[in-house]
Parts: sequence; C-alpha cells; structure tokens
Amino acid sequence: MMAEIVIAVCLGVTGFGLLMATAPRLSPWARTLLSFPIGAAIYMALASLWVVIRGNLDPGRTLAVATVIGVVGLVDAQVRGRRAFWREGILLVAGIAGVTALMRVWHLTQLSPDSLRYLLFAAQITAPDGLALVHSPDLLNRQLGYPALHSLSILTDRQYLASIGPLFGISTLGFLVWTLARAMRRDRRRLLVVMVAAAFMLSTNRFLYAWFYVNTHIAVAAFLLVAVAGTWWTLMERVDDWAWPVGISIGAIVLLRPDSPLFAVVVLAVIAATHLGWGFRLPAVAPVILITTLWYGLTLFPHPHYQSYMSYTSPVAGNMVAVAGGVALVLFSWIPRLRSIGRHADVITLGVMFAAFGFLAWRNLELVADTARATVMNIEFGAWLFTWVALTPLAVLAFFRHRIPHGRVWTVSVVGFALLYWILPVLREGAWREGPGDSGNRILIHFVSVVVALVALAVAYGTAGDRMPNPAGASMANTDGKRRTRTQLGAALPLLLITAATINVGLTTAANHVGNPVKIQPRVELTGIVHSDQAYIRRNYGFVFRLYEEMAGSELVLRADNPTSNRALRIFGGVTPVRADIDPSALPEELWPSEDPLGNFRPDYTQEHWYWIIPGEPGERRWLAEVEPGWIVVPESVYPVPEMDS
Amino acid sequence: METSDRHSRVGFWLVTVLVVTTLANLVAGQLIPRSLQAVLPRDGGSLYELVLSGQRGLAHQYGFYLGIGELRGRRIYAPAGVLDPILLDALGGMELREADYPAADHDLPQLGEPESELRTVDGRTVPYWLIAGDPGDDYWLAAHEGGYVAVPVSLMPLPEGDG
Repeated sequence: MMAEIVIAVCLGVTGFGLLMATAPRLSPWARTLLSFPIGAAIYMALASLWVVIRGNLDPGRTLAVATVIGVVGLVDAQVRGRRAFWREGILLVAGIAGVTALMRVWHLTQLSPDSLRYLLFAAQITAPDGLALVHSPDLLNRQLGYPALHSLSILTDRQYLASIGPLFGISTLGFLVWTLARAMRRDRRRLLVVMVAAAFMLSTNRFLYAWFYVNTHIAVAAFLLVAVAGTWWTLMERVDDWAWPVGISIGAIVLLRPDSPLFAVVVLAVIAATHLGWGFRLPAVAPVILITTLWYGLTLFPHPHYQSYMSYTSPVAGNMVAVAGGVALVLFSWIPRLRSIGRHADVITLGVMFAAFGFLAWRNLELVADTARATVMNIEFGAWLFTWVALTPLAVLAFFRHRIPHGRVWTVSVVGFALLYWILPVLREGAWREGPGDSGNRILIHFVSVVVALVALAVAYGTAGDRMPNPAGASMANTDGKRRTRTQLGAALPLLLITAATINVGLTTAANHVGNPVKIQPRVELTGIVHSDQAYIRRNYGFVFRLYEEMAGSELVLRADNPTSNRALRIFGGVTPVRADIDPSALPEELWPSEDPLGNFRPDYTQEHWYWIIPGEPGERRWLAEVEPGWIVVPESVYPVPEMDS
Repeated sequence: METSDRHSRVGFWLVTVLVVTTLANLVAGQLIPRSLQAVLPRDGGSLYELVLSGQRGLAHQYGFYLGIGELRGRRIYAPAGVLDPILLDALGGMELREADYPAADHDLPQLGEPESELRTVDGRTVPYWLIAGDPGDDYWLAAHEGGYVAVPVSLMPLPEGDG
C-alpha cells in the first residue's frame, strides 16, 4: 500500500510544484485540486519522451524526474518568497494519501476486456524491448498515457493502481464545485446550486463508475474540464496564470485516446476566438505541439504498422493534421491582420463540423439512425438513466438564454463536444451500439461535467429575461422582464418542437426505414425479417437463416475449427452440423458459382465471407467449401465431401 | 446578494430539474443490474480477484494467467495450443515452454472445486486448478477432470515425454 501512496503523492507534488512555479496567482484551492491531474500529465509527457529515446519505459525513473520537476517548482516558489503554500501542500498530500489508502482497502476497481488491454500495454512497455512488444494496434487504440500511469504498478505489489481513477474523479468533481462556488461567491444561492450540481454528478451512474473503471474516460473528463474552465477563468479574471494548466491539459488529452485530439481541437478553436494574447496562447499550445510531435510524430508515424495504411483519413495522420490545424487557428487568429476573422474561429470551426457531419451523415443515414437509436437505448442499457434526458433540454435552454460573461467558451465547447459524439461514428464508419461497454456510451463521460457547468453557470448568472443582476455585480437586467421572457419562450418552444419533429421524421424516413417504429415487413419469417433489417444482424446471422430456407433438416459437414456457431446452425439454420477433418478448399474451380453471392457473413465478428448455396435435393447432406471467393455450401451430389488425407 | 423574490425563475426550474433528476437517478440506480452499479465492492483487490469477481469472459481470457502470476513461478511447461506466451509473460511474469509429455494420470490429490475456467489458445474452455509451490518454482500443466492443473516441479517432477 505504501508504494502506491508514495506514487500518487509524487504525482500530486509534481503538479503542485509546477503550478506553484507557472501559476502563482491561482487560487490555493484550484491549485490543490488541479495538482494530481497536472502531475499525471507531466508524467505522461515525460513517458512519451522516454519511449522516444529508449524504446521502452522505465516508470520509476520517469516518476523520479517528474517529482524533481515538482520539487524544483516548490524550491523556486520558496526562493521567490511565495511561502504560503505549506498549508495547501499538506492538505494535498493528506488528501491524496487518504484516498489512495481507502482505494487499497475498499476493492472497488471495475474491469472490462479494454481494461486488460491497457494493463497488458502497461506491463509490456516496461520490458527492455517494450515498444516492439506492445500489440501494434494498441499503440493507437490505447495510446501511451494511461498505460504509462498504470505501469507505475511495477513498483507496487499489484499489476494496476486502484487510486488513479478515483483521484482523477475527485479532482474533476472538486474543480467543478470550485468553479461554481467561485463564480457565485457573492450569491447566497451558492451553497444550494453547488450542492445540487455535485449531487447530480454523483447520481450520474456512468460518471461515478468511471472513477473506478480502469480506462481513460475520467482522465479525459478532468482534462477537458480544466481546459475549458481554465480558459474561461482567464477571460473572467484577466490573469494568464491559467495558461499552463490549460495547455498541459490539452496536451494530456492527446495522449489518452485515439479520438481525443479532436476534442482538444474544439478547445483550441475556443481559445482562438478569444481576445487572449500571446501570454496565454503560446503556453496553451506548446505542450500539445511537444506531445503530438513526440508520440504521433516520432513514435506512431514511423511505426511500420501505421505506415502500411497511412493516409489523411487514417487516425494517425488525421489526428496530426487536426492538432496542427487547431494550433494554427490559435496562433494565426492573433496576427493583427487576421484578428477580425479570428474572433469567429470557434463558430467557423463549428460550422465546418456541422458541414462535415451533414455530408458524412447524408452518405450514411442508416448509420446515423443506428447511432440515434443506440443513444436512446443507452438511457437504460448504457446506465445513463435520467442524466441526459434532463441535461439535454437544460443545456439547450442554457445555450439560448444564458447570460454567462464570455459564455461562448462554454456553449461552443458543449456544442463542439456534442457534435463530435455524432461525427465520430460516421468517421469510423461504425454506429454507436447499445450497452454500457460501447465507445459512444463511454465518450459521453468526457463532457458531462462541462455540460453541467454550463447549466449551473446559467443559473448562477441568470438567463435572459431575469430581472436580477448577475452574481458578479454587473447589471444585465432585461428591462422588459417576465413578459418578454414568456413571449420569447412561447416562440422558441414550438419552434424547437417543430424542428425536432421534422428532424425525427426526416431521419427515419431517409434512413431506409431502419428507425421506423412501425414497419411492414415484406415477409413474416424470421429469415425475411433478418434480411430486410439491419446490416449488422444480416452479417452475423444472415447465412444461417439462409441455410434454413435452403436445406433445413439436412446435415452440414464443415471443418472442425470453422468459427460458425453450432448452436446458431442448429437453432436458426435448422441443420445438423457435423464437424469433420475435411479439406474445405477442395472444391474444383469450375464448380465455383458465377452468380452474385447471397450475402456476406461474419461468423466471428472479425472476418467477413461472401457466401453461396448450391441448390440440392431436400434432406441431402451438404458440406461447406471455403475457397478464394468465399464460402460455398455444396450438396454431396454436386461434389462429395473431401476427406482430409491423414 | 439579491433577495429571494428577485431570483431567476428559469434558474429555479433549472435547479428543480437537476434535483428531480438526481433523485430519479438514485432510485433508478437501485433497479439496474448489479454489473452496471457504479460502486461495486469486491472481495479482494488483486487483479486476479477482480477478474474472477468480474465478467465471466474476462475470467476465461485472463484469469489463469493472473492466477499463475500470483504464484510467482519462473517458467511453465505446457502442451502446445493451451497457453498464450504473451499473456503469460505480461500478466503472469512467467516463461512458456511447450513440451510433449504424457499429461494425464498423475495420481494428483483431491483438488476440490476448480479456480475458474481457462480459454485455451485452440479455443476450448476448460476448468483449471493451481497448486502453489515455492517462489521461483517451475510448473507444468497436468490434465485433470477435463481441464488442467498447474503442478509445481518441487511437488511432482515433469513426467518424461517423447520430445
């Protein structure tokens, strides 16, 4: 237990020292809450540097270097006379040690197959030839950040660190609470609103689950909130001290997930549209440039596995282009001649995202409909329960009616993240699926705290039509008062309803009837329904249902290790599978069918096979040939079962 | 700050909806399956215990390797097609030596209930047992009741085989 406590405290001290050196005017509470995520980010960045130089990772030495950076920051603060940090420092160490100890005593860690892939990566990257040992697709799918953190478990008696997720979770919730409390510091409703927001977050099943789940989601949530809220606080308080925490968070996001650079780009676009100068912009982009260069540029890009399918649409090159574009937006938008356009960089980015989504969605409406359906189903099956049911209309209301100063930081971020949720499935050409383990269901964790912050700040600062001034004291009263509010709401609500209804009808009609709640099927048999329904079901079961039509009651001989499920063949195909040592490639080429295949079949969820069924006599035994064009069901009368020579 | 009668009406409803949703989430959270609970205490904190107390598929895929890793052995002899060398190295910290030996009928003691099930490299799902040896021991896999048992060499030497 002690080793894990020391590791967590070292990460906290790293962040704390760095924040003391780079952001001395930050509120002590904010600094304390941000210390662990920032320390973890510094460690991850150093890990990517270590991997580039050595081809593996030495977690102990990397942590030592990170801790030295933190200690140097503290010494620097001491030398410069900023000595009032001991109290918060002791609180930080005690807090981290306490949480870590509790997480070692209470066994709350949640695992999935993905978690084990992260832990495998973590174990393998520490070997002498670590980078070569890691399963190549995992380098991109898992990224280095979280495996690097869990590789610190090599210094403990376990193979994972139970405290990382909870420490990120507490930092996220604590920082949200701090943001709201500070924004409402002169408002006596503060306690109520802050408590309600915190209770709402804790009642959100997936947010709390992410604290204990070995995966990157809670870390991405922490860094996104810091990046967005930090930018907003810079505008509110007019101090650049937030620049490094914001920049480090944006950089860290890139190291956590293959899709996270796109989230980072949304934040960069938000920064580009502000009036913040070079003092903020340069620190905000420096870490992401460094980390993207180290990890994507020097590790992934030259990796043989990723060179084989390099293109602008591949995730490696695509993410590099996206980050470069985001950085360019931040830098070029502050060039005097471009500032007038730069002020609209965020809206332009949203416009481009809308257009991209529209174009991609138009090409694959069925996929968008499937995603929409999965999103709705995940209210229950994804365990989001009532969170998004309530949060979506509240966010829409807040979006249109808030009076948050510099509120575009929040609204553009929320719209951008929400758009990404819809764009990602069309980019990867795979709809979100229902269930707690689906990527889309988990991606929602990333920005739920940002949406709650938007809604709570809308409450804090009032909404258009309120008669009250905002908590900061600046009068923003709407002189027309309630009457105008009612009028605007009266006009907006039917408009929203009509728009939503039109989109609903349009999507379900255009999407080849996939999403229609009432649908008349051309045929009533199960096989007919399967073949007229989703491509997904058709690919997984279409073949066996076709067998039912063609040869129910017959025997099908297939090789012993053919991945088709015996149960599916019996129950849905109505055939008796006979596993035998046959040569499935023995069907002569002249007997291969010349007509179009009946469909494609995915027996093990990975490879797909075109398939044909050669007609035979009722009850006649058939065998399954696996030849170059695909799978062919062959009656014995056409060609006998080819026994394998033993 | 301002008096309560001047507070935002929209803000009031926003807060009300948040409160109602929080309560609804808490109630609905009690009704969802155990596997979806956000906070789920487990019996033990080692990765092996977590995996065995989690999803069945996870235990099949990784349980054996984590379990054998907890025995802190050095290498394991096994027939071809049973164990994955990469998982064994990464999760179990052990080296795999494929060997051809008569794996059955070794007069093993009563082993009781199996630890869990193992999905072998050649696609079978079989029960397994683990017998603890000394740290640094070598192990070998013996066939047992349709599955495998990891036997420390210090308890019973590897039977001589053809290869």
